[in-house]
Amino acid sequence: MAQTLSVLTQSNAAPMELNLARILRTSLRQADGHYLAGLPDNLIVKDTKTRQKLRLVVDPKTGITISRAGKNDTALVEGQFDPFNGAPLSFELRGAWRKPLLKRRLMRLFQPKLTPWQTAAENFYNASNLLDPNEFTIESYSQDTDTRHRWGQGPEQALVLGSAATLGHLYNGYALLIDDILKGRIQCQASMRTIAIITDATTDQWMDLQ
Amino acid sequence: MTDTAFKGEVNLDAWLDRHHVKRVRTMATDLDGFALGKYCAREKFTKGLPIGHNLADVALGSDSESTPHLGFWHSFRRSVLGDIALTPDLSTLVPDGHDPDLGQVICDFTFLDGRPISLCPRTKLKQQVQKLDDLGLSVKCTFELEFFLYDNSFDDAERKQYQNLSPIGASPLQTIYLLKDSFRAVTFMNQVLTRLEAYGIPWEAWNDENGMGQIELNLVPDEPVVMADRVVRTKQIIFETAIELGLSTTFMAHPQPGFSNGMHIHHSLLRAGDPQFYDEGAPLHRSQLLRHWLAGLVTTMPATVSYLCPSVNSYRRLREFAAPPVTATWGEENKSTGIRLICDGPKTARIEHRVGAGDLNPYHALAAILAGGLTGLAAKQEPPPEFTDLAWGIPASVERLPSDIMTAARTLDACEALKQELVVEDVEYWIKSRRHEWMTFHRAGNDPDSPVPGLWEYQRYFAVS
Repeated sequence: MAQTLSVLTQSNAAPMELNLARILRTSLRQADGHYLAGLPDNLIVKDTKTRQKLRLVVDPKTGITISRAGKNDTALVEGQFDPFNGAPLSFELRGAWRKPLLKRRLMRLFQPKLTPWQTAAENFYNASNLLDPNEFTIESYSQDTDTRHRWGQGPEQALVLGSAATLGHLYNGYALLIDDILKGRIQCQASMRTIAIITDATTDQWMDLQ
Repeated sequence: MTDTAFKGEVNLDAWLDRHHVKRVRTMATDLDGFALGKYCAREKFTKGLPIGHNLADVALGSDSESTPHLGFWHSFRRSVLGDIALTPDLSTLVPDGHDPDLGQVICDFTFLDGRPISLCPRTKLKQQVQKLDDLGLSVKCTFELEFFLYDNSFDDAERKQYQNLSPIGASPLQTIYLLKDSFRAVTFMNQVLTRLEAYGIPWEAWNDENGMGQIELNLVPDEPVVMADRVVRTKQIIFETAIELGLSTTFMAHPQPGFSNGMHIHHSLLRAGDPQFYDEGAPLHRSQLLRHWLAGLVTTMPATVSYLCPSVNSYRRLREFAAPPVTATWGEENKSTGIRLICDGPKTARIEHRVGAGDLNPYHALAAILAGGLTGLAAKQEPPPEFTDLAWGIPASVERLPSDIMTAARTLDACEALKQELVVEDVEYWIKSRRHEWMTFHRAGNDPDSPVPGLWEYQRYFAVS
């Protein structure tokens, strides 16, 4: 059962490891744990940006342990594991054409279903211990789908504008608000304080600290 | 030449006239311990008193590259990017001596109405000193400054990407106390010492240290804020002297494989001017006050590491058998433990805290140490057993100090007693600033397992630490 499975990282885990652990926890929750069946018990993944490698030790009974792999370890999976990318992981399986079943399993493991952005936003704001609904009123609006979400009833106002996909990535824990603002993916009309506090909350979510 | 300091005089204009001061340089340290300030015209400086001049509030809310902290918040900041003040402490005003028209003054970050900002590192240290004063206690302390000196200008060092620099005084051997090596640095050090003396900063000794081109400088002990001010000024003088002589220096904690810059901190407690650590009638002459204080220091040591080792680079120093301590331990005359107790006489009994890295902020480091000691006094704690063996290569059952910036931040976050002493909001902001530093390191694609510092670390810390 998913409840008994854990995803562990080493004590000095880097952001890439923490981000991957959060993604894997989400997958295991969604799949009730059965995504681990049929996976290799020792999986090396490589981030193409940093060229760093991680080792995933998979135990269908207890879960996954993430640690850093050696430079000479052969990676089975290569891709964009950089946690500052602001989007879900994209990756390729070495020799995938010979392993279609494994590829499907890895896709499910590394790319958990995104929660629809409005639901994700509601979950995000409710889970944050930095944001008080009596202090903030935060409205998010997706221009491409003309959908909106409103949270809180406090005097501090914020308006978060972006595409449904970008808002989905943000509220599902793949991005930090300030990054999305600085990269022009999101417009946020709010005070510096409010932007900082929402960003702080997105950082907590991204690191699975909420 | 301490008689040149403004301290104790009434008429500022008369003092400025007497010392021909036409300009005043203000100086305060940010969270990372970097000296910030302005060169002010004399009229601008005097007109702004007593509150001082303005500067952007992000000066105290930025990282070591002056990138504002946009992703977390402290209540001292203004929502629309406002100003705060640098309020001069006129007791620190001195003529520069080297620049005949310049005066130098240490400042505190304050609100525009002059109220102190608790997050200001110098204010943070004053808070701890005041708590001790309320208990009738004072502190005498000093710092051991270690730095590397290279026969390359800063520009040249940058061009060479900080690799294969030419250490000054380097024999082909990694010696210590070797006078032939020291002599190669005498021209530089004499200029530094002359300027220290002009500032009224008394020093005890300097010597060739173990690393190639490494020098250790010891300052004469004094009270905490005075000593931290002196450290900041000394580091600035060392930097400026290097610039003038076409050399480069660094207090970066780990600039070359095998050797690191530490900043050990010696201190003792006094009551009405009398040292309190040595008690002739107590077992091993260790007074009860010493035992409680020591207990607080050891108990909070893992949590204080975040302040004592502020940068990603600081943690490269904490390695087994590399000289710095790696465990939360103490021992009498033991230089492998986190704390070395020296309890050999009423006037010389003191504690040497050996965890600090060369790039520490002296105000923060001392504030964290004093806060740790205060928790021991408040709880009347007894220290854990003395560690009498070599504290390296020992079983994992002996608690290790945090070995990376995030583990240290998390350890500090978990220490409620220390957070209360140092003001919870300020500690939490500091923790987030360390998280920011850690994320910035990884954002740049650095390898955390690399055995040597990468270019990112040199560019971020070499010249400014």
